[in-house]
Amino acid sequence: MRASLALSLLLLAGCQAFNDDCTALVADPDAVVVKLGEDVYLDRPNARHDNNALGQGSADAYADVMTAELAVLNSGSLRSEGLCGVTRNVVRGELTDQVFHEILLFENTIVAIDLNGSELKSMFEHSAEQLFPAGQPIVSPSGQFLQVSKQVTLSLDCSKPIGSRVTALSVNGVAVVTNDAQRLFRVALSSFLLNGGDGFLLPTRNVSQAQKLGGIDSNIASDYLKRTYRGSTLQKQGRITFSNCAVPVKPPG
Amino acid sequence: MVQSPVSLLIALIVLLLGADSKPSLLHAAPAQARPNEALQVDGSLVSAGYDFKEVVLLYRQPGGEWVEVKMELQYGDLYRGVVPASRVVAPGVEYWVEGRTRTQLSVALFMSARKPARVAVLQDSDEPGARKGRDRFPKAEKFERSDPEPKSEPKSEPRSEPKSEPKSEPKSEPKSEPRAEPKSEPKSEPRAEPKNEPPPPERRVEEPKSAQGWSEPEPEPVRSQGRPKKTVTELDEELAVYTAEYAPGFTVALEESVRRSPQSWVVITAAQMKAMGARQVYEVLDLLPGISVSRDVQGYYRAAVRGVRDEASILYTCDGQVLNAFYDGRALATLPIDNLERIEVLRGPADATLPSGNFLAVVNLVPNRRDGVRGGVQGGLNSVSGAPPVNPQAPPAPGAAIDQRGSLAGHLGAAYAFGFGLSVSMDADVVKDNGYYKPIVQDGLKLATPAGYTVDRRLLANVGLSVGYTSKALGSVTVRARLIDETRTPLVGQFDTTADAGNLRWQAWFVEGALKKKMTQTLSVELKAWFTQQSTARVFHQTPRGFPSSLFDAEGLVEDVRTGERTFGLQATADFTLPFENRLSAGVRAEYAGLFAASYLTNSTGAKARVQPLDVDTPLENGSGIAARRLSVGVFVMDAWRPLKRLTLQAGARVELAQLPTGNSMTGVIDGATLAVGVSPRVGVVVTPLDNLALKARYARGFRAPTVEELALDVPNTSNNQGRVVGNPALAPQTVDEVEASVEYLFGLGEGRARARLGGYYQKLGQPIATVDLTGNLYPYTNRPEGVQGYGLEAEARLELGARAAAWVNFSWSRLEDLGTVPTARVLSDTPQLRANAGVSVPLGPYVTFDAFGSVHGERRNNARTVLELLRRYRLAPYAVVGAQLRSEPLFDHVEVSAQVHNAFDVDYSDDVPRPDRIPGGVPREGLSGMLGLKVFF
Repeated sequence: MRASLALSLLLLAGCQAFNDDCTALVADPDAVVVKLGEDVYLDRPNARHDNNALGQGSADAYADVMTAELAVLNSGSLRSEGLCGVTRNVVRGELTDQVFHEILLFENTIVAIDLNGSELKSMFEHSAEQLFPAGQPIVSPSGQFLQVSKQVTLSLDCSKPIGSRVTALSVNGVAVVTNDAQRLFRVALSSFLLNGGDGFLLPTRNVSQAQKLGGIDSNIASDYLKRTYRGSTLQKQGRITFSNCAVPVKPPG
Repeated sequence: MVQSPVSLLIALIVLLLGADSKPSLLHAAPAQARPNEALQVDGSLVSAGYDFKEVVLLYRQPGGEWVEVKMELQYGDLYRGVVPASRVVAPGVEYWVEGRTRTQLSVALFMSARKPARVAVLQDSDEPGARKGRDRFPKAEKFERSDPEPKSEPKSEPRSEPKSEPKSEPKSEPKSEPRAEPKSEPKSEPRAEPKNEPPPPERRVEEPKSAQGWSEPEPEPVRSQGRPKKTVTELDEELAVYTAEYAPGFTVALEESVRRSPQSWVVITAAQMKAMGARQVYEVLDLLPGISVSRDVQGYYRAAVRGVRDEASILYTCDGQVLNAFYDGRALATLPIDNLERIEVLRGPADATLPSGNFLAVVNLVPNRRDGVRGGVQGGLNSVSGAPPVNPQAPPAPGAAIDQRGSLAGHLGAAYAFGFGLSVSMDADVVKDNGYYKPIVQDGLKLATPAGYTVDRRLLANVGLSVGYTSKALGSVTVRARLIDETRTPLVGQFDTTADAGNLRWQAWFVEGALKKKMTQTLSVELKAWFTQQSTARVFHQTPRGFPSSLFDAEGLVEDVRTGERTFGLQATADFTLPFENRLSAGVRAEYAGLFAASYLTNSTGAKARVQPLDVDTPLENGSGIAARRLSVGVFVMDAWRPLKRLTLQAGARVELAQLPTGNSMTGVIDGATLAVGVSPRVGVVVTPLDNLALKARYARGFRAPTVEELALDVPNTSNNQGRVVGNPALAPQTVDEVEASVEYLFGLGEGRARARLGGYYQKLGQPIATVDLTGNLYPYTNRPEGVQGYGLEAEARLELGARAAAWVNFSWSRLEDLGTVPTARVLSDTPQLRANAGVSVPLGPYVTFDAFGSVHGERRNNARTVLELLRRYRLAPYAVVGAQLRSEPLFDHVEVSAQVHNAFDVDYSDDVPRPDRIPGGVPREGLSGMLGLKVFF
């Protein structure tokens, strides 16, 4: 029965068409997005418990496209699943558009909102809530940890209680004050976070959406990295300083 | 011979001009019949614009009273009536066929009371064969002489029904019909056996035209052999003249509706549904070309038309009443077929007169309104597939007890037409189905293996009532009401987990009143008003009892969603019969729909009781309920024009105005209202160069406004809801532009006939509303701004050999492409691109018929519009399912029994799920099941 069915369908196989499910949805999968100056770790402990070069580069792109004062990216949007079972915990060298889109696989739109200093600090407190203190194993780290754009300098102390782990926060070199409700910061981020993803509760004040490249985060980041790092390499920067926090170990290559 | 293009063109014009039609039944009477065997009368109805309510076969034995039996529509315009075996006795049977309109006009369609067809019946001792039969015609002469009919029927009777007079028929059909099937009617050629026949009567020789059209040969030998010429009475002569002028020819002509409509409606009659082994509507739809039916995790049936799966884009009607719900566009259409006379299906947008919603397809269910009483009961067993639990936490395998696998259904239908214009009919179904149990190996919680079992229990009640009254003064008034109530379990669960069986209740009331009146010879009007109320209460268990333990709720996580809606509507339609074969329809339809209840309760926020989460707004609250009510107005005009006898042009347009909310797609907040306008032009052409050949082409645009669910569905943003779809108040209406061309051909094969249809289409969906998960979080319904295009081929053929032998096959191929993604990932493959269905009916002796039916579905894979869809890949292998049944012919004229088996080889197959990464096995589908049925009718 099955054999005859298979035979009959084989005769008609030419009529059926299926997509190549191992190719990311980009026009030129082999195009180089950026050259990485060092290994970038995409396993969860590293991506969600440390600064990440691709996260930082993408946040820079969001700030650029929205002309915002700063931008953030939740670490949970950096993935290592890959397509067709190819897991990429470590990427190095030239990063192609296919691999980049596999890493930044959620197709969120980029938006910008206005936050005052207090709201900004609360956002980063929520980002640091699930970080593990030093001495504890990093088990199932939360994707809510935020990578930040180059305008941000942030210090975290994991020994402090939840809600008071942010020890220093500055934007463009100026410390953020929490008692000035009139000072608003234009913040770029993904619609996922704006809609409450990863437990963020953000005010929807003066929302605007990116229009370029369909407003999709991965396309915006890819375009930015191609333009910005032509002839140079992307490297992790110490934008977030960790104190008393567990340190992830390097994954096997 | 090579014809020049000019001569071919002239021939075509001649053919186009040559057709005419009067109401008639294209039927060839048999010469003789065997005693005590039912005599089947088949014929194609040429209604010629008459709206026949019923077609009646009248028969009698010589000198007896006429007995009526209604002819049953088989498919298209083919009607079938049966003279019971007990009445087929020597010396013979007389019969004729009459059509009755809704305005109580009776029209003779084949022969008449004065001039019935006569069939000689052999004595038991006779050998079968024409020769012997003809030798017995002196006995036929005897009954002919005893025929008291001429005395009882005034001679003026035929003149009183000038339109029904079949005398004009030879002018309408002789050119093609008699020549089309000469071999099929060998008995109609008296000269074929000159040695056995006496010389034909002189009048025959003198009137070759009459002889040419004669398709009922037996009366001639009766007169010529059994009765000396000098004994021919005046009445006989008159009959000879009369019947000789009537040339029914052979019944090789496409139905009138097929020849005049650019739309390719598929009509599945009760007899065909029975032969398909179908039990309910979706089983019928799944056997049609271009349509495939799957089930979702909740157990709802989802029909995909030409590769597009969207229940809200299919207009379901029952007796003309729209079944689709205002809230989510779904239709409670899981009705048994037992009380249906037929199902009419059109793929693609219909003509402009149909209400909004005829986007991908129209499915019209027509209840059986024939006089009489019918009842039936079926009982059976479904498959139960247990799997050994790997994990001690796994649920126990279901048992094989009848309360877990048995099904029972009962049906009752009755109709009666009173003589003074009143007609009453009702139908009722009750189905108690325990469905099937199959293991679900893994679900999103991964607590046990297997994670659970499908649970497919349901209780359905369907009651319909129709009262009609027709009079010349008032016209035709009809009031219809229907109640459908279904309580069932989710098949797998709410989303990505199995748990205790929930409870899904759906109740729908439909009431409609219609007045149809012919105002003048050229104008008739119809006014309709309707009221619909639908209520749903859907309780889903999202986790097993006691899980998560932190909840402290024995029920586990529960979601309880309730909606209630009411719809009021009015429609006025005017039909104009204009000069030059024009028929113009114009009308306006206004409908107000609103939710009167909407609640979303859950305990997933940590409370023991079901409460409405703070972050959930129901459609009644969001935007102060703007999305929860809608006024829609549709204005339509359509003209069908026959500039030539064999050419029909149809053009029309429908303008829809629908009240829609506006809002923010990112926040889901509704902040205002707007008016959406959809203009849907539709044009078509039909050319019938032959009566049995139709060439069709059409273009149509469809328009569908978003449903309330698509605009305003909201669920709490909790971890167990990640990946679910929510509403988007910024959705735009979607459109479809479709071009279709088809050819349909009907041809005779001896006593049988075969029909074939081949069609192709191209469609472009504008702003299609889709569920495309981009984020893995709650994601909104979205318009695909670049659109979706589709194209495909559909073919079907049906062969009928004699009364009970038939074979049918259909095939469809479709290709659907989402233009919003890169070219290498455009193919939408979550529905089968290849489908084939086939069936065969074979008589096993005089009392039993064997039917086999099956379908083949091509491979399905995940779509690839997003990386998430790429990551959540699945492949559903091609499969074939086969069923069979034995069913009796009517026993004692009133009883039928049947035994059927579905998925006879117990093939495992499954349908897709929203999270294939969490439920990798998909939705297991039905396994082997068996059913016994008993049907009684009077």
